Amino acid sequence: MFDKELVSLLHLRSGRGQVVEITGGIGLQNHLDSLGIRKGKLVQKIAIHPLRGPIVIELDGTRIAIGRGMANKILVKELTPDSENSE
Amino acid sequence: MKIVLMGNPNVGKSVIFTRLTGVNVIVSNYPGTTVEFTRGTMRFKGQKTELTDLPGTYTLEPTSRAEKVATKMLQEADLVINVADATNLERNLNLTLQLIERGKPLVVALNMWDDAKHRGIKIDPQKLQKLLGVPIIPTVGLTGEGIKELVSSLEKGSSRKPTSRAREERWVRIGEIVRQCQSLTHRHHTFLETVGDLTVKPLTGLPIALVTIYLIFKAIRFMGENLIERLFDPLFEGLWIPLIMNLSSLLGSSGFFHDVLIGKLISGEIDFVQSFGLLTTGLYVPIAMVLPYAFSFYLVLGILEDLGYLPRLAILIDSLMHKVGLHGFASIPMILGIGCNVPGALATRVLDTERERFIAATLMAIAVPCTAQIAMIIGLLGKQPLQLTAVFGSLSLVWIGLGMLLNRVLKGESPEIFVEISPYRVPYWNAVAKKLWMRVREFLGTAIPMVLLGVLFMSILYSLGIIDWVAAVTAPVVTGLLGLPKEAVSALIIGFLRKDVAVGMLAPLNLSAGQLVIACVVLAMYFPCVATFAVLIKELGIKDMFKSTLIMLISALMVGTILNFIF
Repeated sequence: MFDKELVSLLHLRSGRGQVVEITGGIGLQNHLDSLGIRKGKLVQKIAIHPLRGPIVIELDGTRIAIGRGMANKILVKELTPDSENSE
Repeated sequence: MKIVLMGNPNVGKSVIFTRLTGVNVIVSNYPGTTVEFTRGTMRFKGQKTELTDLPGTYTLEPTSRAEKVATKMLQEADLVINVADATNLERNLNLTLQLIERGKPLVVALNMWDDAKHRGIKIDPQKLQKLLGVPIIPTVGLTGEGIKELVSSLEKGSSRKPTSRAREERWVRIGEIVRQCQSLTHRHHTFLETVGDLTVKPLTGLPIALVTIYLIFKAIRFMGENLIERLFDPLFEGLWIPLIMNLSSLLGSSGFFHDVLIGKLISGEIDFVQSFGLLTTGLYVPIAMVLPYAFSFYLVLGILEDLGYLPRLAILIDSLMHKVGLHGFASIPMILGIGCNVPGALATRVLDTERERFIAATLMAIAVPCTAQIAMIIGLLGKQPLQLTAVFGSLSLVWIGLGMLLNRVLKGESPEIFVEISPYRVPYWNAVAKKLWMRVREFLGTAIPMVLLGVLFMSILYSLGIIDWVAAVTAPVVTGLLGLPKEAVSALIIGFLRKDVAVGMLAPLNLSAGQLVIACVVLAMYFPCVATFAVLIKELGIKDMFKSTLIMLISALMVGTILNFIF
């Protein structure tokens, strides 16, 4: 149902991605929206904590910590250096 | 006429509040420092006007408890000062636009203006003002830059017709505004940002955290001990004792007044811990034993808070905190609780669900002793590292064990962490000093009267023979289960009032090493001090506080009995 390149924020490999979809109810969308996470935003993964710990991303110059459950519901398109240059 | 300060968390509302009203409030560099509104007055149009500092909110569609407080207060306001973070214009404008849509008279303080410049963010305030239709004033709260302009602009805030926009539409509009008003100069990461990332990545962050925590303890203990040995002890021994000895002989070395004011002379001398008079133990305990550690703790805490280290620590221990049904940010009430359980209890409001607040408050009240208590325990056991380890080790085990149990037993789930990590900022030393002074003053203002009251109360209970009676009644528990002499019950009684005095009362009992450990652990666990108890009733409600208290009493008895078997 989703594009092949779409992965959840949790499984983002290259570190950089663009938010394409948030697969959750309006409540989750509002919640994420409050810290600026919404469709179209560019995110950079900074850290992923072991033992089911949170992930840390950079978005608009701020760092945000997100629990894994939530991160799993944020679908992003992986960005490689090439795809960024062509945009 | 009512004015409110509104804005995203951690944008500096409280700093501006202090600038405008002269009322000092605690400010720190992490979201959620202000959990309740603070009121003050300022002059506006020549009149005294009420200004309210609200907890931070990202949106007017509230998602947290603090946000609910803020949006409710907004409805009563006549004028809104929206504090926005210039370093993160886009996200901050989301709230600004929502406020504009509400139609209330509005002025925007574009705060952290200096920080934005350093980061290569250029904003055109005139253009922004034109596009938004409300006054925009660049400010730097910490230095006071722009505050005068902000005050004079307040008169220009006028009401508009309320409108409403859909969320998507609002973001489109924000995008247009940001494109027109803001330009970014590309730059490399600053040194603080690099350090910021290193301290939040697990591989580097965990070792750094361990070293930091170790250094914190070392620093606090070093400062505390030196303040006691080099300053307060010489003062009390050299200056205070001669004065009190004179007074003692004046009063005839004994009698009721002598015992209340000076206490009992121990082989003709004053013993500041054991004499137990208002002017001896009553002053020595809070000033010479506890204050040095409270001062040192609050100095270090203030620096860490203003630097912005606490949120990073919170993220590093997030998975551990999930084991006890909390998330990483619940570590902040715990850390504040080490200073004093009262602000710790208040800070549990950053947690969103009742379940989390119950677990956090209960664990803190049971297993997080405050500085006053820790200082006295160190004073009592300082020369025996083994016993100190036993006391704090037992409390740590209780914290984890009880937390896991509560997480299992209590219905519901605890939400995941979702939080902005504030950037590191070089602490502004004036602000650190001011906050330290506020906390020390608060400590002295509550501790000295309470300790004096406790000491007085004890003398009265003793002279009426009530202590002996309670000791006889409770002997089966105190002696039978806990293995303590029945005189120890006096410490347990005074512990309701002040834990530091209670620990001090163990000194003359000639307890064995094991008994000291049991007594310290039980004193820490069995009940919060009366000040914390009062705040917890307000925070948890009577029903939950009753449950929490029951857990405290039962677990204190159980742990005390187990320790009695071990030692």
